[in-house]
Amino acid sequence: MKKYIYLIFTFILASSCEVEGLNDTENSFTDSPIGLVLNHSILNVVSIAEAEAARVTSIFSDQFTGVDRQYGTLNGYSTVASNYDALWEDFYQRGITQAQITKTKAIESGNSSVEGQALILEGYYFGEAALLFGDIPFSEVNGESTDPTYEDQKTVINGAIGLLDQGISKVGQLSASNNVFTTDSRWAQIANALKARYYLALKNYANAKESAETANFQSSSNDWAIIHSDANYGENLFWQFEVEQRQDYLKVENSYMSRLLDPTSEIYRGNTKTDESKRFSYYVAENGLSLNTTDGFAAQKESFPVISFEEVQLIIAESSLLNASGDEATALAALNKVRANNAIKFNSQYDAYSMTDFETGGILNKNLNKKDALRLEILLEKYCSVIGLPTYQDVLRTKNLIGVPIKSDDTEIIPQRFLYPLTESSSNSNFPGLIDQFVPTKINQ
Amino acid sequence: MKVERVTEFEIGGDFRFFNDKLSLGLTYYNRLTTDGILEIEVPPSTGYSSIYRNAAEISNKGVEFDFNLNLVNNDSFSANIFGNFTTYKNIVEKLPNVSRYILNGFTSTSSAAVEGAPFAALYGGRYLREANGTIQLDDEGFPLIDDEQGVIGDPNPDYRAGFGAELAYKSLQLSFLFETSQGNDAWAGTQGVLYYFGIHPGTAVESTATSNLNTYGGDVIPAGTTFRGNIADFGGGPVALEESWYRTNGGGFGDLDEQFIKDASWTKLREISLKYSLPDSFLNQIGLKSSEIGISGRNLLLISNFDGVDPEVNLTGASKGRGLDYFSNPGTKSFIVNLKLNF
Repeated sequence: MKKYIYLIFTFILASSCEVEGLNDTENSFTDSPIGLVLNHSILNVVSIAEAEAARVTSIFSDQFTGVDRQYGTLNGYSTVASNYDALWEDFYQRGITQAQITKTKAIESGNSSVEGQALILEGYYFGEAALLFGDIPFSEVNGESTDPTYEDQKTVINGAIGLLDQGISKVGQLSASNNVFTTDSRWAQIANALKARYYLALKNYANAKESAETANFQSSSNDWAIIHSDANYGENLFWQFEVEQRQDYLKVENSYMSRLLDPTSEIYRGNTKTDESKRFSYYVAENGLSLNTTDGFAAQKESFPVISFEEVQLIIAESSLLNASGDEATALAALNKVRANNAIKFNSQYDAYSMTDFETGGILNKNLNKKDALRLEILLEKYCSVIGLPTYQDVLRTKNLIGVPIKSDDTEIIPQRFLYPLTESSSNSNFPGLIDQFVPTKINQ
Repeated sequence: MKVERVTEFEIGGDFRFFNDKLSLGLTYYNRLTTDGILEIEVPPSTGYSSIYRNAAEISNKGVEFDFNLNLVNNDSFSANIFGNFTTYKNIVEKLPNVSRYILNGFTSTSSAAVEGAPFAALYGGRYLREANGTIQLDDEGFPLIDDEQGVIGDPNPDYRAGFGAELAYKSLQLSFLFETSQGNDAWAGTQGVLYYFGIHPGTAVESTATSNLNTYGGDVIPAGTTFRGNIADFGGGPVALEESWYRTNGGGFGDLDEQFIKDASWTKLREISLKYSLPDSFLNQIGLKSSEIGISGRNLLLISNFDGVDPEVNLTGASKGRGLDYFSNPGTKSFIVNLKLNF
């Protein structure tokens, strides 16, 4: 008997060091098919364009007003680094990294159209992150480095444009419509429209104009628009935020944009050729304070454009005016295209402007020279038709030419950037140090 | 990954004197946890959010003391008193790669491990300070807030103690136990939220401006005007704390969590009970072997200056995090009446 016990004991001793796979969890998968990862990279665009970053930028640029709880504080520009932790993760972990994984898998399987989509998405994420945060990690992301270094903002934006170019060369005529986005555009058009946005931010007006024209957005059906439905979590994100999650945090109450559109306000934009009352009620609920969640901008099924016909046309308008040739006719034509589109969209009066409207004595002259008056109108039109991140960048780039009111006594400018998140300052040894939100990013210095 | 190791030195004694009438217990311990395994964050720009690492070195040293003294013990009367006392220092000695590790809590205020700070330190938005510690103020005399969060409080007590007695006179027995925790901080999250909504007694007051007072919203309240709110001085002269302050950074949804870190020392009458055993002579007549009737109460008395639900209760329950008060259910107060019959 004793012999057997020894034998068993020896067996246990001998086998105890051969247990393998202790650190493998069969239930945690580490890989996914390429289609799912691509879908994720596409879907994550929603968390950048339509969620917290869109709400915060619209508060900063006073399109909307932060009213309740944390948003009340934010409305006076008070914020701390940790407020941006989640957004940074949306960019890096759930956006850029997934796009890069998709790209790698696409290259491995020789699928160039998926590779092209991944490149465009990667370019979009890097471009938007650099605009908001300034210098950011770029070439060392998702690589060997445990502490990615921060690269110059302009380098990153140009890198993003480079990724978009690479994407364009791979996607061919592929449609950008899928189960997240509704659009008549092809991926190449979307990528060109994004390039136009980033060239504009870099104040490279010639390239901005060229890219915007190449994007060839002819109507709102070209919008790269997020599909929303009445399915749970499929609803418009502003609707979800107001109706389901955080009622009254975000309102239109007394915002600069709402006063520009409100026929009863002293700074109403309307004139003999323009009636803004319908656009006002598109944004503002009947109570005059909240977002319109019934049949307007924040309605349950209202789609949200990540980049729109209006934005692309108004990039053409502004950059035509500002590039070397200073082409006022093209600028006016592009502005009038948007107004014609408004007339249909809001079923309201948006008669075409003529150049005399901007000259001395014209309805839009506002004691400026003709060119400046035209530019101001282009910027104001964009301010009232494009919500969130792109408009915020316009206010920063133009040094607040449209006169967004400052909502705090402690500053004379609106916040110029998002703070770097606490997750990076806490764990990245190459973190460059927190930069105050009132310090302009390099492209706007 | 290496195994997490705990090295502990402990010495103690159990002493008895006067025929066991007095017993004393004393323990000193010094424990060092090295290569503590934590799921700590990595820069999201690496493409990942966290990693398991041998990250922490945590020391914990402390003293525990208890006694029991039998004062009297004869046929009709007995009296016993007892007590205990513990104190410890629990420090995160090393936490490489990250500046903090959040154990539990909110993005605003949390209980975290921070190198050099006590374990589970309260962590959140704080005043922007000069190198010498003075709070930096804006032009109106209100505090500025540091963009980066930091350690704002220590939820570990300076000491905890208990004291109790058991007294018996003939068939009557009385016992009680007091417990106390002194020097522990807590985040008064409940108070912060009530301040925001203006439904806390601290905001339901009127003050009269003694001079022209700035408000956080940029207005001036002229001297002699009565307004709803308080007058405070952050170091730059008196200012008015009214709606524009409480609805933003003066309230619980603002960025200044440090103002709601409060001393949460408490003393509780943990238990008190009174029992009476019916005399045998009476019981025999009705066929009972023994019988006892008693009344006892738990948590009947709480002595604390903490403005919250219950300084002993933590929002995140029995977790590593502690010291967070946020509408948690308080410890229950209970009365128990019992009757024991033995046939």
